[in-house]
Amino acid sequence: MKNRIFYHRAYKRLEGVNGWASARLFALVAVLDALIAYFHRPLLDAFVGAVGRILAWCGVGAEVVYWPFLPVWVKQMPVLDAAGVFPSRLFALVTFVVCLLLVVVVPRVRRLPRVIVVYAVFLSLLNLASSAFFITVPHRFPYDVADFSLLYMGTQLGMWLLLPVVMGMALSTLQAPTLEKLGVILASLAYAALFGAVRYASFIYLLREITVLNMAAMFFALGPLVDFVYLVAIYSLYVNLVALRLRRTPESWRWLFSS
Amino acid sequence: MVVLVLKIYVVLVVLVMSVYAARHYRFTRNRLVGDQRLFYHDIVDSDLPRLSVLVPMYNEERVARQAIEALLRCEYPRDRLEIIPIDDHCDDGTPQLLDALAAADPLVKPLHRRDGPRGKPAALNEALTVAVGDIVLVFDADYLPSRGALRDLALSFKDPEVGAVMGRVVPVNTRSNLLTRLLDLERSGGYQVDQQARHNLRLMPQYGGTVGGFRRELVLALGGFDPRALAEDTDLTFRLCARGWKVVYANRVECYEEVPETWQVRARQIRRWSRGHNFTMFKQLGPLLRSKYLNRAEKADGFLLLHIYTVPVILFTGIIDSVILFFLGEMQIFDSLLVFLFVATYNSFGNFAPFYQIGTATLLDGVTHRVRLLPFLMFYFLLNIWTISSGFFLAVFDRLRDRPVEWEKTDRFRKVVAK
Repeated sequence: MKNRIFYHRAYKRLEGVNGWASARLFALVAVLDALIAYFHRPLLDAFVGAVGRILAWCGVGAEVVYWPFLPVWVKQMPVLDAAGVFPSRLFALVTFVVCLLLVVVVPRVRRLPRVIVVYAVFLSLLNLASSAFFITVPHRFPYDVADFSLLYMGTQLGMWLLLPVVMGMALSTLQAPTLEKLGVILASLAYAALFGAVRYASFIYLLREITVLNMAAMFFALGPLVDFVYLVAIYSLYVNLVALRLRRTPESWRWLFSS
Repeated sequence: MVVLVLKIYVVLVVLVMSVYAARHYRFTRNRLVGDQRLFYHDIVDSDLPRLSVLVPMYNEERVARQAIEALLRCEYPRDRLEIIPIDDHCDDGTPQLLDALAAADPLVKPLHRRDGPRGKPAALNEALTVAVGDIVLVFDADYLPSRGALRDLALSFKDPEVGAVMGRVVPVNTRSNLLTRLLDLERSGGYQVDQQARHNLRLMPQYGGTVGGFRRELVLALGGFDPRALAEDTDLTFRLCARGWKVVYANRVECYEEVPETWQVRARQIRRWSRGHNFTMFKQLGPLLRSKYLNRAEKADGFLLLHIYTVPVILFTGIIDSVILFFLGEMQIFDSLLVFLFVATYNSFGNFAPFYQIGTATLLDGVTHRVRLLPFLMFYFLLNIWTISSGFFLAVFDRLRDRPVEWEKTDRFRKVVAK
């Protein structure tokens, strides 16, 4: 015989997270963002320096240059510059044909999951557009490695500033100590910096050693789109932890209304 | 000038994504820690309404028997119940199966359709003319209702303001593969949080066309279902709400369904939903905004709900916009941040439910380890954008040409039950 009846999942709820706890978390997020904004220069210098060292370790030389950057409080953005490999017309033509074939053929392969098909077509279309550009008006391609670096660093800084806000919002409803939540946010930031550095190094390596033709695909398909994968992954791991904790403490749950 | 327009559009995309992210954050917070509004199932009343259960079917021999048997097992007075499986131009073994079930139990009264257009709205319209129940409940052929489902859903109509009711859908084949596990997460976010929060906040919970029901006379008075509508459920929701009726959500009434097990089938399903939903959006936007029965919050929620399948199109065009800006050399500084922002906000919104909404839903459902699959929902990102956008453009053509649409059936994966 049951000696305890648990609340049905349909209407159970958690005790409201203390208003002060939420306010504390959002205040900490604001402080964190303010610190990132204030110390952006040493942070960006350290980031670019680390990427430069990774590239040097791979035998690729890249120079740190400073570019004017808006918003004005950033003033100058350190970026890595290197001589990118400009694609020949033949290379662009071959890429164009290959991408066109992929766009036509891949959707017809019925055994491929639709997700892979759509992603492959998206990548192919970006490269198709890029190669068409290099076939027709190569001299008008508007970016070099430094321009691309500036775009990348802009998004990277945006990520560092936005991540605490998004993560703070997502974590704010969960019942957990504020400092623990702050730890999750800091861990996410650390991962963002690490992942961002490795990706930046890979991008510069590809642009420097292979071709600049893939810039659009790098930015649109492997840039910010991918950043949210690890953010959500870290969130899901934390929710998993909270769920296991709640399973051990069924008294945390309430029924319908706040007591 | 062109560049300026393109840049303004990017800003607009970011704003739209942010509005939806905020809306879902509100829902998430309300469902997890806010006051919950109970459904009507605590009512004890022996005077239950006469009930007609309609089950539209097109070649459903894989699943029909289990669905009808599950309905027959439900607790409801037999003298007040009829089950009408609708054989909608089936050309497999479904008609024979339904006749056999009818011979075994007189509550089962199959309706064989051989004339008229095929499709759920047309099938329901014909069934409404032969049904005798005051209340009509609709179940899809792959649905397996819990034993109390009919009673609980029917009880909501004791409230004279209620025009339609919707129960919760739970996947039964969750463990089949990664896709079904992801769909389980998505459903969880959509029902456990989204629908319940809208019920709590007295906004616009949605009648979903299955595991739900409505007043028969009311729908007949409205002229039945629009046979052109692929989303006849959303259409009915808005027609009722605009006329002052309430649609309520019963989170406790769980019904088990089979979700698609292949990406192809899922893509087709979601394109059909998008086509139908957007067709309804074009049709119901005016009546929604003009309705004198809805308050501002309901109208705002209804507006956002109507556009839920338009948002991926906005993002799709936003991406094209950004790619153009990129190749024009105009993707600089602010734009790079904006692209990031709208991608980020869309990922917050993503698959109709942002990741924090789904995470919260899994907490409430008592799910522990499966929540770690959340990042895989990113797989949906481009698939959803593509399929929903193509559905949107089909809806535009449907609207412009006023052309009839053919109902596309969702494939089933259950093994045929031989008996």
